[in-house]
Amino acid sequence: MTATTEKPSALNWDAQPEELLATDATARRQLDEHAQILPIATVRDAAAHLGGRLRRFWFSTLLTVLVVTGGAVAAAWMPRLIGDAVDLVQAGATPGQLWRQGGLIMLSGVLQAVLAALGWTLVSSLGQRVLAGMREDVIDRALDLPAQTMEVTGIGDALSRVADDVDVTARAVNNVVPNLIQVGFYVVVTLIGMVALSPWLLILVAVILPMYAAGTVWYLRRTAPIYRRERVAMGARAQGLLSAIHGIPTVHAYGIERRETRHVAVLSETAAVLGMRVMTLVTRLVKYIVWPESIAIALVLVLGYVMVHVSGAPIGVVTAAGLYVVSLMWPMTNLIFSLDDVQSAAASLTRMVGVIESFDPATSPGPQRPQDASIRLEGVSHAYGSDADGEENIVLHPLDLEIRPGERIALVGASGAGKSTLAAIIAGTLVPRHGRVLHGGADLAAADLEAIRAHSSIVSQDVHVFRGTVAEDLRLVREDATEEELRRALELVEAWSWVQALPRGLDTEVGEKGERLTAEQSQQLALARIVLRDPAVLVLDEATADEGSSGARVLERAALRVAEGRTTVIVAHRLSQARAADRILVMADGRPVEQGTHDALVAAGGAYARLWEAWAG
Amino acid sequence: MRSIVRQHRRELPWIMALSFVVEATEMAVPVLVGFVIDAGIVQGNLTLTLGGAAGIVVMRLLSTWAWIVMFAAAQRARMFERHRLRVAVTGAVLDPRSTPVDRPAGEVLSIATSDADKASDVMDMIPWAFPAATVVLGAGVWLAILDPMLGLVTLIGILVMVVVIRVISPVLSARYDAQQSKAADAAATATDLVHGLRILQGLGVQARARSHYRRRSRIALDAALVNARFSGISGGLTTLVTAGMMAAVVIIAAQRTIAGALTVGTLIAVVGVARNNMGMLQGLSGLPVWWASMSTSARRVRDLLADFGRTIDDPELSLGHLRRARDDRGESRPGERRPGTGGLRLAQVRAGTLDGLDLEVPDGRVVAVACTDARDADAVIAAVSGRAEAGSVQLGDHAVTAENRFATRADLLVEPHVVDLFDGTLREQLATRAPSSVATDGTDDSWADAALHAAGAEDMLRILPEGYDTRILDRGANLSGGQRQRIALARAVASDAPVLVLHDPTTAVDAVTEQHIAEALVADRRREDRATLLVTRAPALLREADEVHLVRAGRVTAHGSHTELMDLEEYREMVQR
Repeated sequence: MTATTEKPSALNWDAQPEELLATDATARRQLDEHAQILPIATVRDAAAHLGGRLRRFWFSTLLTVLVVTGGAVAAAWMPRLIGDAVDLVQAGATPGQLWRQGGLIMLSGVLQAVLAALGWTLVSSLGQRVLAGMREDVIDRALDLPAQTMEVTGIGDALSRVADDVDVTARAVNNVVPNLIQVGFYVVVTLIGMVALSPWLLILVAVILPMYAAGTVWYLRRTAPIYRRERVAMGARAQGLLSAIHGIPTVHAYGIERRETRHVAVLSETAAVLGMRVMTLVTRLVKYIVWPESIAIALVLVLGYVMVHVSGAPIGVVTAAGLYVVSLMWPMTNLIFSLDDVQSAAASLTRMVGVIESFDPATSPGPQRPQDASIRLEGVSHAYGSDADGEENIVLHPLDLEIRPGERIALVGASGAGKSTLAAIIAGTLVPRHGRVLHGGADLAAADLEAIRAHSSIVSQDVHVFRGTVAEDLRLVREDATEEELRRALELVEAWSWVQALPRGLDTEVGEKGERLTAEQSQQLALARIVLRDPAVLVLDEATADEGSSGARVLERAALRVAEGRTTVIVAHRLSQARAADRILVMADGRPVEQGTHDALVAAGGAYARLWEAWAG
Repeated sequence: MRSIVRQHRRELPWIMALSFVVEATEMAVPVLVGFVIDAGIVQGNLTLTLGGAAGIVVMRLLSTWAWIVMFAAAQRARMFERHRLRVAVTGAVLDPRSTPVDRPAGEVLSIATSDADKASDVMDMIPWAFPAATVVLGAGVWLAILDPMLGLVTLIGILVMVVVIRVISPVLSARYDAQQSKAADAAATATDLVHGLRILQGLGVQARARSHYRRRSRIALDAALVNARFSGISGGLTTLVTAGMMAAVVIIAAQRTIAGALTVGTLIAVVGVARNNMGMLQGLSGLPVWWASMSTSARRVRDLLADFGRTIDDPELSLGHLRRARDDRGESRPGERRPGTGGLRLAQVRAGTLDGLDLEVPDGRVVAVACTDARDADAVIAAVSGRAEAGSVQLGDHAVTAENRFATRADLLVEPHVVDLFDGTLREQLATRAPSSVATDGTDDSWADAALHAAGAEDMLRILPEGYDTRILDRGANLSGGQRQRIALARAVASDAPVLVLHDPTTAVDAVTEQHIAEALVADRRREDRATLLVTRAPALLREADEVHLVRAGRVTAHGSHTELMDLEEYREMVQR
């Protein structure tokens, strides 16, 4: 194999992202800036929110400001002391005087070091505390995001809020923010110190400050959108790679490995080109900043001449001024470039605050509590969306339904007949457009939130095994469950045997990092969670669908056993499940078209009977 | 790592030369300032003051120009390497000829992103590290020549700094790693909870999930607070060393100046250079850690590629190759409707639990295989995917083996049971492998209509807001399980593969829809130059198939029509669950 050497010039670094994406419509859609669905707060709102949080830590905030200011003063003291040393030299000082001056310099250094250590710690700790509160609130709101919102947007945006944005902010709080605050204070104190040293230096400050400010604004304005797009490209790139890896069997079956590689490559190239564009802006900024810097050096020399020869200042003042100017350059540049990270952290902050402020924490709509396991639907109907003409896409026509405690109802019908919608409404996870839903006499619109949540559960086709051990997954439902209770729950769903066979039994790591469970095993865990949750009402939305063709029908048996003693609504995709129900509701086009027991419906010779005939052969 | 440097061996020398000039200029500024103070201000020479100031400005401008050229080249190389490594890893992961590797997707992702990025930082480090180190050394020599004591103090300062950093760094990086891993744990918990959001909401255990996350978040916070303390202390220590060094330099230089050995300007220059030196040293001291993390990352990239049986310099993983190569479906004449192959024949096949299976799927027929044991079904799929252990699997005149299974892909599509959909519009989903003779630009969707019809998924056009142009998210995140399965089925039908193998294509759909699918699917596939194999136990599909083979204990024990087989008790029990 011969090594090929490829040059950076193989890429078109001047290309616009649009050109790079021309061949990949999917990538184009992914980078569309309007792909964000969850709300984003304005910078002002985010700042106000942050201020509110800082007020809660007012003492730490105050202490931090004092310490950092002290550190900056100590740091700004040093050039002055060195300047004085030069004057002492000019005046032909004694060694004693020199040592004293050296001691003072050392003292300022020690003060500076102690205050810097303390200041850094204080700023970083304060930031971390504020951030911890924010990320907990983001998760808090995310957990109650309405199912409909998530269905439209997918979970991508929510994921990036709880993970990426928190991460970006945390990194900033770790390094950039403490640095920025210390450097910022230092720059301000030094500028004040310069003017205090000699009024002549006011000219210098007046000349260079606006130049720095203009450069900073110019730079931040241009980088912000590029960073935003780069971040989106990186996210899409990661997702593209992950989904291709997960879908390798399909990728290979369809022979689309190059298409998928190219998709990732296009996004990667876009990110690289955008990254390079930021670097180009950096060079332009540096090209600009060299001017105020050089002017400052030249000015301090010229002004030094003037000070010495016009106003008769000692040479030590010029030394101090020179040291000030030299020691300002690096912090100034540092400041400007760290504003970049702060800017991107601020963008993340607005996205976090957007979630926190736009969704209210879930509260109980009222005090009612369910008295028994009955369910009543009164005039319930549902529709999705309403377009410009106010037209709704009706998925469920007005419906009354009464379910006795302990009754088992099966919903049967074609896809799109409204079964899942009805099931979600019954379970209380979907609020219908019209009508009332009562659980044991309690109207869901006026019931105690936790009471209702404990009263009814829904298991759907979605399987997910949570991070951590099997026991931790189950204890997510009931924290204080004993090992014995976990074992019994797993036994009931016929999962104990394989859980036992895992390397460390209940304490085996599962989920994304651990042992991979099959779809059936994951669904068994889902049913075991129900056993531990022990709701009075259970809704199974095709919960056993993905069983494939494995022999034992374990899931169906498990589901039936779990349903024992509960009011159960089953969205059935196998008629064997319907047959075992007390009552079957046949749905078509958002309406129930037949209702009754299996035998009655078969005898009636309607839609269900035809279905059964086809099914049972 | 070596590959990265080799890629840029021609640019690196001049980049480093420029960088050296830049760093040296930076160091020379205080010396020049000292000179101007001496010769201009102290002597009262205005012309020299102005001229010197102008000279410094010009010099800095030139140096900035050099920096810009150097920086742009180095950064371009770095960005390019990131991209190149990433694409190579992606290509290796997805290439069917790579050795299969069982590594979690998350790990591969982090190697392809953050490790590729870190390894490429070598292009950031080399151009800066060597010149900067040389300049620091040069400055030390200059000080030593001015005055041996100054040189000694500088040397001691450097040593103390190095010791402090060597002692602090490991402690610090351990704390930092601890914090990062706790933070990553909290972040992973957050992601995990959002992934399982529907389940948590279905169970109504949001409050529990909340406190679960809060606990993780607090653990992360505690680690972060410890880290903040250590970072603060380490910053303070380096400040202390710098300050001590400055004090010593000022005292020594001042004494020398009083003694007449140095001028005031030189004193200022010495102080300036010492200060710059300590600043640079602080940066350089981070090098060992930086280098370590960089080479670890580079090694991780290399090891992953080695696991796949590839190397970074594999020409087939290069960007140029990716740009030129077409998708390899073994097609000789792409795009046209493939002629029939004569069907699929399995003879005396052993694979997994199969024990000498014979099966024929001729053109024009839809054949179903019903296995009493699900493992037999998996084994049939493995065999037709080229993983038979013994016996023969023939696609027309070609054997389907591990070696050429990718060459037979053009004529044989084995649709995996586990559905994977990729980001794209509904039309793009269906067109994944459709012959290019069909219109995929939306001018004529009749082919897509037909595919949706065969998969019982026409209702999708009604449900999805923008019909064929609706974006289906990655893994079908905005669809239900049944919808996902039917779109995958429609995608398989739209491919119009001469031989199509489907494994339990209707497990996630309801009985009503399953019946529709069975009728429409079989009607679509029953053409004289097309062969179809259904591995299923769904009675609706079995009834529509032209013939059904019952497989038990790895062999075909009976065959005939569904109705005929229903007389067998074993068969009846299996399908009437």
